[in-house]
Amino acid sequence: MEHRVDLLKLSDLSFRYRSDEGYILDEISLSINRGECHCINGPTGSGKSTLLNVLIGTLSRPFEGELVVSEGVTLGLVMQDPNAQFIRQSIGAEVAFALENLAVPSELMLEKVQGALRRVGLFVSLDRSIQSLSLGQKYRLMIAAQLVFHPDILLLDEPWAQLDDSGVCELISVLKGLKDEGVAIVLVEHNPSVFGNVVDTFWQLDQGKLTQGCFMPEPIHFAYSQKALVGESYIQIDPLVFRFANHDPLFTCSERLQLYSGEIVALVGDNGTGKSSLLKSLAGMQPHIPPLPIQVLARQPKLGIYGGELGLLFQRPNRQLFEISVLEELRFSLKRFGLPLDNADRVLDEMGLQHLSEHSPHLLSYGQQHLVALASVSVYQPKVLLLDDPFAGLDHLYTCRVWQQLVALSQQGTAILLTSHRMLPHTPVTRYWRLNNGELLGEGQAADTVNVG
Amino acid sequence: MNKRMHFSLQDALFIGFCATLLVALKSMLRLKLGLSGHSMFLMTFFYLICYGVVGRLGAITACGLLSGVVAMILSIGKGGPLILVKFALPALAMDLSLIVLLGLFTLRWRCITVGLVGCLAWAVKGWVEDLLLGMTMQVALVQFGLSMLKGGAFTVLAASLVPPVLERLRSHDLLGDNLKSKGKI
Repeated sequence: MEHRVDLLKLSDLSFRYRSDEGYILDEISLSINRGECHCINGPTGSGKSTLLNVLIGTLSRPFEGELVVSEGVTLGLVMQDPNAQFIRQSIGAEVAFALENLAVPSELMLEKVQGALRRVGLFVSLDRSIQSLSLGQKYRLMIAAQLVFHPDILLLDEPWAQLDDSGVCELISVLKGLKDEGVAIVLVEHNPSVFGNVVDTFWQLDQGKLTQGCFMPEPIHFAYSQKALVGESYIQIDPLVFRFANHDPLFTCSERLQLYSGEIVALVGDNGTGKSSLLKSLAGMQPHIPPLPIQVLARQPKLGIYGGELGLLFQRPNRQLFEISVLEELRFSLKRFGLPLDNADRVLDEMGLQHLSEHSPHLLSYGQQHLVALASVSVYQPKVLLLDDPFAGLDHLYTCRVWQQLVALSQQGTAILLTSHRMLPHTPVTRYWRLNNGELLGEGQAADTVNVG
Repeated sequence: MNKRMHFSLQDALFIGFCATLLVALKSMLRLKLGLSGHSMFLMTFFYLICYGVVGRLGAITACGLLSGVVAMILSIGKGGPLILVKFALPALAMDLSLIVLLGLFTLRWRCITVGLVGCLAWAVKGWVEDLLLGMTMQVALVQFGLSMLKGGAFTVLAASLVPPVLERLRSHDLLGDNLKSKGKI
């Protein structure tokens, strides 16, 4: 039998953020060996990302129990929001950063950097600015920045949510190759079945306990039997060429697209196709683009003119959270638009966030921040709701609750446009817009709109 | 009990940050308000923020000494080498008052009280300077009273701003664990 070497071992490790709170990790034990792939899943906010931070040693707070990392073992981590990890300005410099720290001769760096980028399917200029990449491309870049120094253990936080389907396929192929090379992999994932061919052991983290198996959420049942009334056109996009100043066109649109009140339209496209840029343009906050033939609520989009009529959820929810508690975050817009403050409690209840109402939104997990940001833009019931990847980081239960909230809003006449990397079957989406091969297309009625849960 | 006597790197950096920002703002704004005591506003604010974040006795004194040294080297403010005393004396007084006031009052009232103690030290320094200049006791005492009144108003204003700022820092998990765990914030 082949001799198995422990790379890393956790023994009865417990951790909590505050002494007056319960343990988020409660006597966890885990052993990671060469060539193994572990997948950890569990409900949103259960401590999965915290566990990865413990493994890589980035938590400043002390923990109980034992964490043993074998001598010379290197770890690479790709966080849920790769923006939090970038240090350099350009793609080449970012990937080369680890090599610089490892004193790799500069003449060897170029080949290694290009090889790492090729491996994750990112074919872009090394001098290109990181800021010009989409979130999914940034995620690939951060994977490349880890692979370039050949870590012994690679930790990945929610890759499925950030990558499009081709990105996931490429990642699976990369992970298989890494396993063969003896690299251990730890995945944190809400959708573990996608990585079934690579994963050796599935773990579920729930209420602080780590046990073998897949987390099975309690099924929730709700109906949206009443079909939303489709009425007034709130968004109108005439044929256009979308481009940033002094850049090639990002995409074109050759037909008129309209979004009506009460509709839920999904804008589907791969990483970097321009989904987020289009959403920001609709909200009037995308800089460096010439005026576009777009009408939102019968006006040319401009920042600040819509007030409570338009809500935008960013792909990075922490960019729009600023209050000291979740409840205050929701109440901010209500106070601003003179609406009843009780709405905040009602929305928190409906989205199952009441237990977080006094928490600081800045200390929540990525998924929880997404929920709070979504609640804060839906609480004032805008006429147009633009949601950039609203389900990233959410488990099945919270995904259903978000849908429930969106359906309720659409039934009250809100027009909802949301982005996604992939089609959303079995959801209340009424129509799809596709961003494919540089073309924005409307594709009519969604083929499959059945109940959720 | 193993008591930590030194500042952590994080604490030291924050004290340095407060001291530098205090002196930099003072030099950049060059406020000519014609109001005696307005310098107590920035001083009280940064000293109390320093206490709130670092959460240890001695933090304010360290910040005051550092501010004084920086101001002295860069020739900022009136007073020449004595500028060191102007920054350090209120800081020392505030730190000493915290020995008594540590567990008393709510954070807001504690900040105001500690700030007023610093203001008192600042006014006493002015009173001693006036006496050294040959002012009569009677006039010096009137000047002291006016300094205390005007400086006190700016102190109360600055001290009132500190708790909301600390609350924001706490929500971003930027406050030292030692202060939070002892329930001082």
